[in-house]
Amino acid sequence: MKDLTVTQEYMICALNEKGKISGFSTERIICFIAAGLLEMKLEECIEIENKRVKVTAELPERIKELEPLYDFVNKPRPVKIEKIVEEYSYNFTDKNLAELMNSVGRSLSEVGLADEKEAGFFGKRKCYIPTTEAIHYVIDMVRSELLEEGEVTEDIAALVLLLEKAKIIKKYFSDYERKEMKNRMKEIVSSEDGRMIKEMIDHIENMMAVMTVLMVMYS
Amino acid sequence: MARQRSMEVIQKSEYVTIGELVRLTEVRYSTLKFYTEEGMLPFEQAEENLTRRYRREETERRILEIKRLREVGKSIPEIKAIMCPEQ
Repeated sequence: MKDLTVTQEYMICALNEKGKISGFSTERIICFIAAGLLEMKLEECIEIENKRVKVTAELPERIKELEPLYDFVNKPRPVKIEKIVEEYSYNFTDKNLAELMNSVGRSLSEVGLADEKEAGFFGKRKCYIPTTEAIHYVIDMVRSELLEEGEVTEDIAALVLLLEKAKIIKKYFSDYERKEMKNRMKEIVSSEDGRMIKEMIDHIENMMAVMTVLMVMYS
Repeated sequence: MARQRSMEVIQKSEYVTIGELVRLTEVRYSTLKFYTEEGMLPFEQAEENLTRRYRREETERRILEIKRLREVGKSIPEIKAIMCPEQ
């Protein structure tokens, strides 16, 4: 199996059987953008400080499907998180979001983990439906780290956080598994090693808070 | 905390975790866990963090052999008897 990024893994879990992230769940969209940002942070090509994103290095080849998001934040001055959330979720058109989803979806389709289908009124749009094998593979990766003794990697911890915040976790894991995973994540966060995870939680919660404010403004 | 190891690194490693075995063999985690509990996949346990470590080459070979025996219709007890005669 090819190496997958956190964003690809999140997308596999977040897409529904029609190849869409439900428009009724803004959290799922926010977490998709958060996945991209966290991935770029893990790869050390951006910094997130004072609720602003700053590009610090070129986009690594292994996460090239994040180019639309990287280009969006690659500005002479740091870009506010608020601006990113607004442009990706509350913009009049969904151009930015569609571009990023197509890029990540295409990368999955190229390795046989999603089927590309035409969508929209005139079939002008593309949508990507994850294969059952892809879903099993990602969920098994999570189980094999969080339900086993031993080290949990940053990638899997980030993915679990995103699935939790997007309220997707219930779809794939039993009550017992969720309880075990919650305990493991608590242990990690309270350990000396958990600094990165604590930061991730802060970033996601900040994006969620921005989303709530925008929802009130636009309603 | 560390990042996930790439497939390139895993494919060259002497020891792998159960998660890495899932990635290498594309066999379900629950299946590998079952084979482990049945004693069909021997492992070593590192003392410091209790991670189960499998010898990569030997374990990959054993998984392929189990798959082959399943395909020819052998049951799990029969496969165990063939692969672990000492049990």
